[in-house]
Amino acid sequence: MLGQLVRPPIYFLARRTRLLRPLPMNLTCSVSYRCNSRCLTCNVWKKRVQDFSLDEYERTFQQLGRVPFWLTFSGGEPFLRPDLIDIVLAAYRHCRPGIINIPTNGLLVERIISGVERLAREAPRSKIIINLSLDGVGEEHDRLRGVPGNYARLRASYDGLRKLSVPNLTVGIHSVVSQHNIGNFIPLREHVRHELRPDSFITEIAEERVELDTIGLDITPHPEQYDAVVERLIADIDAETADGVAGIAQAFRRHYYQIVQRTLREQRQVLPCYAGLASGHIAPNGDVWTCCIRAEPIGNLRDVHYDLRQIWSSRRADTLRDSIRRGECYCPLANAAYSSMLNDPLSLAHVGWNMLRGRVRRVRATRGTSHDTLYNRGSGP
Amino acid sequence: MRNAAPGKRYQRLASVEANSKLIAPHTLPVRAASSELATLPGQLRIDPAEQTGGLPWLHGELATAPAQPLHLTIRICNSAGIPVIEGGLEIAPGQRSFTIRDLRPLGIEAYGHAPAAERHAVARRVWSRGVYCTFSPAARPS
Repeated sequence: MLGQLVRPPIYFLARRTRLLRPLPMNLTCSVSYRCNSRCLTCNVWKKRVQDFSLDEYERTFQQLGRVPFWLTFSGGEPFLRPDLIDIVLAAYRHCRPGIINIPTNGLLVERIISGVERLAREAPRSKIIINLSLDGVGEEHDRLRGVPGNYARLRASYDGLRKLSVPNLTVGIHSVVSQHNIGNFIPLREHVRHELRPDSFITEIAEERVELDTIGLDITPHPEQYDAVVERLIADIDAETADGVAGIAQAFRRHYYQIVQRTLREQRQVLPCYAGLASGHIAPNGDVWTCCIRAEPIGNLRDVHYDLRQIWSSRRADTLRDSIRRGECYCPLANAAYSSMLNDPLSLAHVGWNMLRGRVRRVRATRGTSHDTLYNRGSGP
Repeated sequence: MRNAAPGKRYQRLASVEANSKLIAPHTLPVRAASSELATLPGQLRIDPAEQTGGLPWLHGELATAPAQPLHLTIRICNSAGIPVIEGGLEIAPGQRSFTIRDLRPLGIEAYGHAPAAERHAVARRVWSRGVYCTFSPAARPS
């Protein structure tokens, strides 16, 4: 964990000098495009490629070694793969990541609960974060996700996960804010905060992504619409009394929401992007991307004996990194943004300021000056 | 609607009609990628009458004919600078005018199982987000 502290300066130098090509600390593996949801904001389920086998993942992680600190296993719906937990445990054995993150639609209730329990027990040194995707309340969620009964099954998965008695598990709710649900965001937020009370609640704006084949779909909310959402989210953060790691997470989240707001409004790369340096993505067929927004292959692991280093240090990778560095593209992708914030001194100063503000609020709260602004909420980031 | 927002970056190249015919403003701006490609035109002419895989052909003319063969990759980007369509271009020594016929949306190979009509519909949807294009030397001659 402490070893991770030396990495941001290396990524910072790599971005500034172009002399270094450190492997990513934040790696996402999409294990399949297959999905049993039919979301209005995603077409990934229509795509088909030859998915990596368990053996291919094993070889990839073996060669990668203890490089990534944050590993995400996404899809499609990752739990559609019966061998998902074996894949993740292969990563745990070889890479020993600090954080393993799995987003899921919550439809495969039994498989999710039993799989996560096994994972949390067999990977005790990693923090396991399971984020359930919730875009609306009740039938609204079913409509947005295109699956009748989805909400009920998500609740069953959520309740089952919350009952697991494993110390290294965090159960969160992840909501995509799109043109289709932005009008109902406040009821959704109220539902999550006051009824579900997850360990974490994160929202992400719906984007046009090559990966999800959403280019040309009008799913991204207007900046003006999103402003109102961000103001509410920031007010929520400011009203909380999170301390420790949860307080740090909130400080980062507050800054992220502001970055999204500015990115949409200014239509430029507000936060220097470290995609292709600090973060990367492996597609289901072994294509390697700097990020899932561009989803431009810089190589395929099958062509290089599953050695990410060869692809990461290739000329094509340099070309894409240069393009990103020059700010030729911009996006509010959360996964890459959090890595970028960690490596950007200005962002870290903002986060530090946010933490200081939070600390001041907590002191005031304990003195009884602002009890009326506090939420009676469960613990967690 | 996001595309209805003001500002030049939100302007689209083309929109898509229900009958799938492209309505184009007829030109596609070229953003210069490097000085070695300085002879490239400032814009390409869109030919909606000729299509491959649901995407129109593009025509252009170099300022001067190259002495060596040129192997280029064209990428069409959306308003956020994300390449969404790409294709190849080979120009022989002495040749000035060229036509790009093999454009394809990035990631369309994952639709290999789908009927041609579905792939074309995807291509037209993606094309509707194109704002400008860039050229770069191809990684290897095709």
